[in-house]
Amino acid sequence: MVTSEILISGIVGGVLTGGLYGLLAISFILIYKSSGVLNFAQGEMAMVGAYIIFFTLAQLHVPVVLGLVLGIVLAGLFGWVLHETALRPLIGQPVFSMMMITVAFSLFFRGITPVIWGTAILPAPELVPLTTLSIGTVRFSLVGLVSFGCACLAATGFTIFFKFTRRGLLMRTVCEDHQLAEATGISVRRILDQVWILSAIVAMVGGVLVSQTTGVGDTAANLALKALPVALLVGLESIPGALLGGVIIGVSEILASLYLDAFTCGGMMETFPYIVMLLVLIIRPYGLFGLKRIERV
Amino acid sequence: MQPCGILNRKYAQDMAIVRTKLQWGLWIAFLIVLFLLPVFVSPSWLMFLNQTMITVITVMGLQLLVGFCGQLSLMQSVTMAVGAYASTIIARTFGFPFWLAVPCGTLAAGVIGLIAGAPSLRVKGYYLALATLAAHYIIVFVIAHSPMEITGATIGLEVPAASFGSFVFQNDQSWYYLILAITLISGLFAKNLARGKIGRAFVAIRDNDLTAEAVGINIFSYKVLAFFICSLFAGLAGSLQAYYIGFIDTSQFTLWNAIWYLGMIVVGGGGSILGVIFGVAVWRLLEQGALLAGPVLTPILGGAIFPLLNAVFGLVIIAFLLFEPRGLVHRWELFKASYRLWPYSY
Repeated sequence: MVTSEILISGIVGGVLTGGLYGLLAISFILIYKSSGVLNFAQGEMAMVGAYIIFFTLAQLHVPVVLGLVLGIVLAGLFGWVLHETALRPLIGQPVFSMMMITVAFSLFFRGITPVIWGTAILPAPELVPLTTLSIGTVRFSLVGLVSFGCACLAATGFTIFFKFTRRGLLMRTVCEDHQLAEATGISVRRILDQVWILSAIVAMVGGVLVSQTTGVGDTAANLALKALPVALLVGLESIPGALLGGVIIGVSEILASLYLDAFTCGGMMETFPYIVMLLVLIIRPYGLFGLKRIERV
Repeated sequence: MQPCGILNRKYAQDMAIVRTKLQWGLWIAFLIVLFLLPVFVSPSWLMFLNQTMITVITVMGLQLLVGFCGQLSLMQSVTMAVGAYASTIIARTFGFPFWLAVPCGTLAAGVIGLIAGAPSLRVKGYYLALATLAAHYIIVFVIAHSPMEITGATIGLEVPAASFGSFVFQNDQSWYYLILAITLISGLFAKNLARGKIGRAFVAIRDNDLTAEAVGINIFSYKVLAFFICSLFAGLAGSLQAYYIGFIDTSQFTLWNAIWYLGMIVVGGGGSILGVIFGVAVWRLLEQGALLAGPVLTPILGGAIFPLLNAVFGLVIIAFLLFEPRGLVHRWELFKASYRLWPYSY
């Protein structure tokens, strides 16, 4: 029987995990919105980000602040290289090629990281202390709170950035139509480069936060596969919506595992987001906040 | 392209797959080599050949869906699982013989394909890929969380021995001839389907769905048909694999496999049945190479052989997409054209 205490702490945990999903979903949405590419390697970008931080802090032994700055620079460089070498040459190719190249990159990064750093899960350099806080009877981890804070920060930050800054306006123009943007004198290539850099950095932050609790390994990549349903639920368009979607998925998977696991012998936590995803695709493919595109299917 | 001086004088000549005497000779020689192969190769390579042919069957189905009809699918390996589980469960609970259980498994996979094809009514492109991704996770979940006595949950099921009358398929050689025959027949079927009315409708939908609809092709029914046929191939391959290995569990049908099948299409070249064979051959040889190199590399890499293989596969796909998006089959066509024209350049 599910008591109210278990229920409340489950919901709080779900909200906090949902923040993490939201953060990863934002990094999906940034790229999809501007370039029309659904990047299946986003989770691997998060994973590589966690490895980069591990590399700078635990292997190079640089001070924490310098290590983080270096990590952000490397992650940005990583996003830029990915866009320039792989996605840019494929412009004008069918969706299948675009999808396969991101899938191929996810295969490659999942394959190459164990070759470089070994197959074992590495202990993450501690950035956030692993303490548990409690309000009344509800207990939650500090890492969860910090990641939820990061997600809120990213959501509000990007919303303000897209609404009120010149660069944000340029990016929104590029989202609208590449050729029109090019015709008004915007360098689409440079804007897309910047979007990929931003997205890689957001993914890295997500990956590092995941690695705080689970260690540096492929868990971040697997978690990002669960951020796909989140991105789809909000329609691959809206950035503040991504946070809400993350919370919805985070809470609903906890509820599903609390109430439905008894009937299915467990495993509902992993599968429920995909059930939601399939339902969204069948009932409302443009998601909760997405633009309804008028097109023939 | 035809060799110089070969002209089609009858419709039958125009439609023939094998056109010249040289081609007939090469085909017959090729078939003889295929039939004599088990005598010469070692048992481990025979097993390799059998599994390669099973993969060829499933990737041919995927080629019809992805390469010809242009619909993305990430659920090919789970459709194989449906075929494998359906034929095994039918054989175990109702005692169906091998030759009846395999068609039943094939048909069950086809029905799942029909259901999975339904979202293509509303979504396309990435969204369809995501729908099939969701279907993959949900079907694996259903198999792994069904009652123990039906699907074996996470532990797996023993598959009864395959027999035909009193003849039991127990060694790799008898399996080789059975799988070879099925592969050849399904290859011929796929080839003829691809160049007939249905295949042309698929290509029209892939290239431009609005135009296809304007010339009177019912897009939805052809898309669902593509999913159905694709899943039939997957179900056939899955059932054969279940009987061949003699044991099934969910770990044989991973998302990686589904991605690898798509990778084989990239390497071989989309929109060609011959390309499937190229793609699968390259892929399986790389895999076999990693198996053989395993003992040498293990001291250097530790347990990272499988990840390294994934990295290599990823690089191969990236290289083909960037430098030869039309795949190996395009290179093969160029080679054929050049030797036909030899010694002239055009």
